Amino acid sequence: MERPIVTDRDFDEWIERALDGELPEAERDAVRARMASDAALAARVAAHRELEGYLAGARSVDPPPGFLQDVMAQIPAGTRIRPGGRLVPERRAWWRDWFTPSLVPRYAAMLLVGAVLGSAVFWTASRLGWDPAGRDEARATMGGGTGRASETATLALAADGVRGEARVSLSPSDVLVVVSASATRPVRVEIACEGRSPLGVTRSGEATDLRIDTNVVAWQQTGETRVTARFERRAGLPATCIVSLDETPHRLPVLP
Amino acid sequence: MNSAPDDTALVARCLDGETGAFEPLVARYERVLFNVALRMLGNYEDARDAAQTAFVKAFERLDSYDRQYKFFSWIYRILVNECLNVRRGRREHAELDAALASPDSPFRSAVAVERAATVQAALARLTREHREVVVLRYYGDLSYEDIAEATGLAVKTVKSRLFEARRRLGRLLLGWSDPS
Repeated sequence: MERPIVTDRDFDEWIERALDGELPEAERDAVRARMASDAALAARVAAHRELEGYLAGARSVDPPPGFLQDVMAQIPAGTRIRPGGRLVPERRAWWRDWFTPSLVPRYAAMLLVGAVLGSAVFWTASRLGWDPAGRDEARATMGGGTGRASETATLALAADGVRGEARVSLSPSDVLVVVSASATRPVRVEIACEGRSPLGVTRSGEATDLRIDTNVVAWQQTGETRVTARFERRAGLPATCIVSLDETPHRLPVLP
Repeated sequence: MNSAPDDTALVARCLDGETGAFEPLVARYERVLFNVALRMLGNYEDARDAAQTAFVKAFERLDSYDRQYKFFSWIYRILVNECLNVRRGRREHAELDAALASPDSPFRSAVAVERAATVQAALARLTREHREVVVLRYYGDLSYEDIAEATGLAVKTVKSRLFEARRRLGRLLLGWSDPS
């Protein structure tokens, strides 16, 4: 398609329609042809693809279990629609509602939760010397303040056979995440910084199998290790990072 | 979403008293309507209630359904009204529940929840008009024409709103600079 004057907005709209699958092939070819010789346009296409990928990462989720059955349970069989939206349900005994198929799993779940809670209370009450603080260590405890007001925040990491610290800090151009850990057993460590690609990684100690994914840095370690992962920083956007030890995630304080 | 003939046949059977004919309609649209409600409301429980209520109200009013329009467009408007009713009664949620985590590893789930929360917070900052077209495009997977029919807008307006909404999302999520 010939267009004597093509504005940036024209091309942005073309890019979006192409990504939406709504652009005719001829026009798609025109965008491709111009991309080959126009670095600025190619960068805009990359930015649009990044946004698409970002939104796709939060795409649709399954409806809650039993959704359909719950809806149909509210429309009893034999209900007839009368003009004006008035329903005329068939008559049924009140106690039959208790045995609606969609509710049976709920009763079972409630019984199970009750049994588990009861057991937990009994176990806790009968066990002297139980140390809740020790349990909390298996997760992560926060250190170095909340991190909301400063440019640096730390998180103590502790799990079975692993002790260490994760620190996130902002430089003018980067988000730096430093994980220092000592492990008496092999442990898998991963870092993700929401929406940001890793720019580089430095390491010291016994980190092996180091992998850098789209937005994740991961490695295996035993002994003492210090890994510094550098992610791109985007002006005005908060840095939200997660560190995991053997798949157990710990959310670092959000900066700034 | 080119299932209009099937939909109208099912509606006709419901109107003839065959309640079970409504079940395929629920099965067909539960995912999209639940997701639209979820992104509009930002809360799992509220979204489930709003979507279920929309289906029940749709059944109750099936006699008012105009068969020249798509069933989805009609029930979508019922859902939007239901979402507005829910939102009148409470503060807006900016974050989605952890229940939205994908059934993946705990770490990947945590990252996915973070992503979902970030996107939801950005959606919450869009105007209702912009959020509506984004939600239908990304979470309803509707074409421009289907969005236009569902919202009662012209296709041109849908494109324009999507364009502006993406600019805003780009700024909120990826730090795109303002157009000069």
